[in-house]
Amino acid sequence: MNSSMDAEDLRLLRESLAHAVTDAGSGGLRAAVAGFGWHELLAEHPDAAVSTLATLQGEHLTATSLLDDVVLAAAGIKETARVVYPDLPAAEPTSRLEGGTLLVRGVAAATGDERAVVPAVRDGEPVIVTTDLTGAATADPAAGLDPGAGWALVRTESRVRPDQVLDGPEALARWRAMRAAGQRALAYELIAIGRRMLAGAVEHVGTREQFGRRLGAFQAVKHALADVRLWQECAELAAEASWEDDPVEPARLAKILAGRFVRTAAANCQQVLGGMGFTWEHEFHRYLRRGLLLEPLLGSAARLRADLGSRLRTDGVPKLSAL
Amino acid sequence: MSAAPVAAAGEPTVPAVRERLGRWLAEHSAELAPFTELPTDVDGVFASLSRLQRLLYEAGWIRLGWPAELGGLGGPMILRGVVSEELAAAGYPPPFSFGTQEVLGPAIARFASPELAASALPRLLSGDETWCQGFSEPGAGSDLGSLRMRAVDEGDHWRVDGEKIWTSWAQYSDRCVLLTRTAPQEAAHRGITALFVDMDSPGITVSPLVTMTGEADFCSLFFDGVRVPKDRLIGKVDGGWAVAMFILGCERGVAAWQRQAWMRWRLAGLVNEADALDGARAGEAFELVHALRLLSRRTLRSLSDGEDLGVRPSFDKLLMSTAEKYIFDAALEAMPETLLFGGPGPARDWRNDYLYSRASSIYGGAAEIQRNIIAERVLGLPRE
Ligand SMILES: Cc1cc2nc3c(=O)[nH]c(=O)nc-3n(C[C@H](O)[C@H](O)[C@H](O)COP(=O)(O)OP(=O)(O)OC[C@H]3O[C@@H](n4cnc5c(N)ncnc54)[C@H](O)[C@@H]3O)c2cc1C
Repeated sequence: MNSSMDAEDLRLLRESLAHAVTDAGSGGLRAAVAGFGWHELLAEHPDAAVSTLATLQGEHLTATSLLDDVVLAAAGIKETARVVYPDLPAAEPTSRLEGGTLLVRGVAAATGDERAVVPAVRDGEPVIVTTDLTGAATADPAAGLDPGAGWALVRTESRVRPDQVLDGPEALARWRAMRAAGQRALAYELIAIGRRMLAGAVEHVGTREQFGRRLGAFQAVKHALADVRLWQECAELAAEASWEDDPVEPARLAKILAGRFVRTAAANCQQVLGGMGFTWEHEFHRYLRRGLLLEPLLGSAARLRADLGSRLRTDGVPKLSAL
Repeated sequence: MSAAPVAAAGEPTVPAVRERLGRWLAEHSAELAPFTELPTDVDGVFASLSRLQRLLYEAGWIRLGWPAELGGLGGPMILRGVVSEELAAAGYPPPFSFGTQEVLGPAIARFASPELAASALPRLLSGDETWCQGFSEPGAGSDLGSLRMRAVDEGDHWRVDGEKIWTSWAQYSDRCVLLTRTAPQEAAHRGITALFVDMDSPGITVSPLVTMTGEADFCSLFFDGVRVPKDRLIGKVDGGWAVAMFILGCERGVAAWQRQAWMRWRLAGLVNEADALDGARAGEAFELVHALRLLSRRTLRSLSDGEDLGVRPSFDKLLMSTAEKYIFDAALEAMPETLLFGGPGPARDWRNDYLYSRASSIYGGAAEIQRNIIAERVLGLPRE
């Protein structure tokens, strides 16, 4: 990518972050990267920081996500906090501010800071509310499809003072920046997940034989995986391109294409893995679970396409990615 | 050739050219007005396009990015990607003839003798000539390496006999880039030679074939003892496969970029015209066009920098057909009455483009061939 870092620095960064992530083990990610100067990196070279770390999160299926850091940094919020994202599969805030009451409805990290940043809607306009999640009801994170991911539903209500609420054009701009940064990071993470699925499937069909041939010699198998590979290529280019232009549309497109890639990978790779891929022991289901959980976060591909479609109607076809 | 074309008056960079061209288009809007709508019947399209091409050539726009010795104005090749987009942005349908030029022109520039290239290319660029691509035969489609049209060395010329089919727009063409067999059939793709043939040579019969759009979009060609001078060789004797592969690569290079500019313009029109267009469908169409744009931009940049493309353009080709079919499927869904019952004019354009889009996964290497290439050469799966 046309990173703000040079290629050698980027390679070193990847290597050392990869070590940090592997050594951190479950739960230790935040401390490991903090020691590494993660916040400075995020401020100075967001492209290098996000692409590297989100990719590692996907590859290692980490138990903690640093998505909140990325999203807060994009909004210029320095304090650490948990972000309450919209309910799945929406890409617009689902929390509401009614009178002085904040109705929190969304998805957030199951554990972490008590302080929370909640994008919400008041009278149809986005606002950003800073609140406290102490004692908030989060759904049991140990239940669900991917308990190891560290994400939970949040459902709570609290009274907020006016000084906790940011509104007007500033709130809109911040929310857009947060969403774009989050979509971009999720795109890298989903791509890493899809790549792992594909690598596993390629390895399997390149070795297992049936009917006296390797499975990968059958054209139906080849074509199923070639399609996955096509969407990988598109998703990777879209993630890279999301650092050009104003990020709102490119980030949305990056997330859509990453969603398409991971969904195609999930279906086609699972099929060619056969019974082996259906076992608990095989790694496939772990990537599938994480993919299914993250794909609808900050907008499923299906939802984002519909949002994009209405934007095309009102503003015309955007000019992106100049030659 | 005018001494100082306006296109050359400034920096040869993409943003500078875009800016100058935008200004020029605005200043010449009266002169260009007839080109805001292209006829859809092929005769009309060809007549209209060669006039437009002439104007753009005289101003120098379509000479940018081509070397001076070939009639160009120099500058990096990437400049050749600018014109279609700016035309579309200014409301003129991007001419698909640029695509044809971008498919065959670069091969002549690269593989023909310098004298042949210097005499032939300016005529292609100026729109004085149209060229066609004589690859496919009744017995050789996807398996192009099995082609049979014979070229026999008769001293000072080649004698060519055989048949070609599906040759697009051959009835309007002055020259043909022709693949012939010059070594035994068993040599397969190692026994093919590319020749640059005058379409008015005695012994060539061109029979237009009506495609399912209702237009004669392609032809069959019969060659009966056609004499082709020796200096019309493109590349090496028995080295035609390299030329053919290069041409297929170009189809996925600047030509694909032109195609995506055209698709984007069609999609913008669809969003405008079709109130019933489903939002998610519109979004997905844009998603595909955006992805194609990114693939194609990467290819174009690599070509412009002289990098080897490897098999990457197979992605571009596969997505090109996926996106094109998707857009016109969406158009049919959103405007069934227009497409199915509408009269001449825009309705006919939508209908024709819908029908033509069905071929996009067949011509220039079928989608299955691209998938095979991706599976075998990118993913490393066992060969067929
Ligand atoms: C509109 C249009 C314009 C064209 N213009 C030109 C031109 O200007 N010049 C020129 O030389 N040719 C041209 N062609 C010909 C085009 O390149 C061929 O149609 C193409 O190469 C496929 O060859 P075929 O039609 O013989 O199909 P076949 O090779 O018979 O294949 C038919 C179908 O079988 C399947 N298939 C074939 N091989 C495989 C395989 N290995 N694995 C899996 N599936 C396979 C594919 O679905 C394919 O579409 C044009 C074709 C069209 C439709």
